[in-house]
Amino acid sequence: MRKIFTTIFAAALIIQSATAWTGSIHAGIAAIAHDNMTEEAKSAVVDILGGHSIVYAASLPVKIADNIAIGANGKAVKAKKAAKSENKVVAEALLLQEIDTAIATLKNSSATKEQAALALKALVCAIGDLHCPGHYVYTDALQLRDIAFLHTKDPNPRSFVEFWESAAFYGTYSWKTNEFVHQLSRKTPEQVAAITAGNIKKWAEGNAAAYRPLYSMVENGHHFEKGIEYRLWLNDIYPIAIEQIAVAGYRLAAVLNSLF
Amino acid sequence: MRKSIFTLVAILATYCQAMAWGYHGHATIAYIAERHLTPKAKANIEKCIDGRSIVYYASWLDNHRKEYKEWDRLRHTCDFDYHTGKLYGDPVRQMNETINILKDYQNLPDSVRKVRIYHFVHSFGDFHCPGHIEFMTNGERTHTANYPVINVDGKPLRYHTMWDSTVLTNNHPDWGYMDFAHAIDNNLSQSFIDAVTAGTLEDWLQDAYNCSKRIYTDAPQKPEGTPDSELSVVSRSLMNDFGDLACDQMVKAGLRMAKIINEIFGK
Repeated sequence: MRKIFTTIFAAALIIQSATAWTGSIHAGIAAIAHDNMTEEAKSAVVDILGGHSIVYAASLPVKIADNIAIGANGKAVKAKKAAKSENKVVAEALLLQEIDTAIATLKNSSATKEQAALALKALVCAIGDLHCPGHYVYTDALQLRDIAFLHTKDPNPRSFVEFWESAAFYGTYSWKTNEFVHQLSRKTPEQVAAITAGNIKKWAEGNAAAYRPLYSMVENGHHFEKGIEYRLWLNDIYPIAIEQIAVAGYRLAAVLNSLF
Repeated sequence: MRKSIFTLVAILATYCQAMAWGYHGHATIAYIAERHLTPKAKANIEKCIDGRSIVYYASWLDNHRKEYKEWDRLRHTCDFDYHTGKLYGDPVRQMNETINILKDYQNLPDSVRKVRIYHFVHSFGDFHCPGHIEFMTNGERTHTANYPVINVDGKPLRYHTMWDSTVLTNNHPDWGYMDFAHAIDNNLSQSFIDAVTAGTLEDWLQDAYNCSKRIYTDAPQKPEGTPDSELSVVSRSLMNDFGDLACDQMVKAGLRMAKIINEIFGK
């Protein structure tokens, strides 16, 4: 009995400690991807997932290492070498490895359906997180992850990383899964080509460079005393969150199209 | 004493920045409008707003009003004489100005064109929000949703806030704008659409006046003997009933918005 409770408690901790876009945003990213996948890729996904679409994969929580370590030179690095003193951060900063492992499994013709399904779920989650600014660990400036602010309606300080996972988007919009598609699956072929050029590592490093200035948009300990002050700040943030969600969807489609 | 309360209410109504329909109401109205656009009108208006849907900008004016002082000063509320239905103030002039400017949309600077579209898709919806129709009697504001505070599911809530958003989210907590549109704008007959969209902006506001009177006559009442400290309770049946009115108004707003956009951008 004690063992059962311990297991449940451990599982709850894992779920609580997962920092990612909310499940709804992950589903939205997957839905945008679905809207831009080839028929062959859709069929392959349905085959792996037992009749379900890629959106189904996004709706099932999987535990992955969902942070990515970025070195002082802006390159994605092996986290263990880059930040020995920050064991917690180091342990989490392995997102690119998760993606590599998932892709390798999906390419492996001897992988079982179950292994492929798990890899697909991890890949959907990981590509989404790759486009969430809160998942980047700048190993030369680990203090960026400590930034927290207080909002007038919020009794507790909110970390900037947590803010990016939900409020950066939901502070303005409240889209359901298909509404993400309606709003964001609208890029021209030229825009899609520009978004999907390169590879996953290049995407990560491009994102890392683009996201770092975001941490300067609020000072640690800042208190938004008035709702309007928070609203004005949010107005600078939400268009960035929305664009990243769209880009993640198109890139997930590109990865799946190339795989299948 | 009664007069002083009304005066206070009038001052509050003038200076409180009412936010109008909340996110769901505005998004649903714009989405219903989008569903009734001609392909040409849809393509032309979206070209003006960087390829986005008009739904994206339905609440833009609420979120960005402080960055655009000239729009922040706009009245989001329409005032009518309670007994005669005479409309006070400038909302029709302001909306007609935007519509007339947009008629020349191809020759407008990009920034002007965008902000006028944002104003149109937002404020046009507000004109159909029952909480944004207020009444005057002998020159004094006597009916405003900014007052009172009522009890919804055990929690105090401004009557105005209930009409902006709670009337939708309380009845349909899990619905997005596509769900609302699917439920309330489904296979509408052409004769219904023609009837709703007949007339002018002034006619539509008179219709809003007629429809909105009942939010005051049917407002929740306290049973006799209830202490002053207790709030009037909005019953489930009243919330459902008001939800019907809100949904009816959203459909009308969406269809009428589509008519104007088709006229301007469908040529």
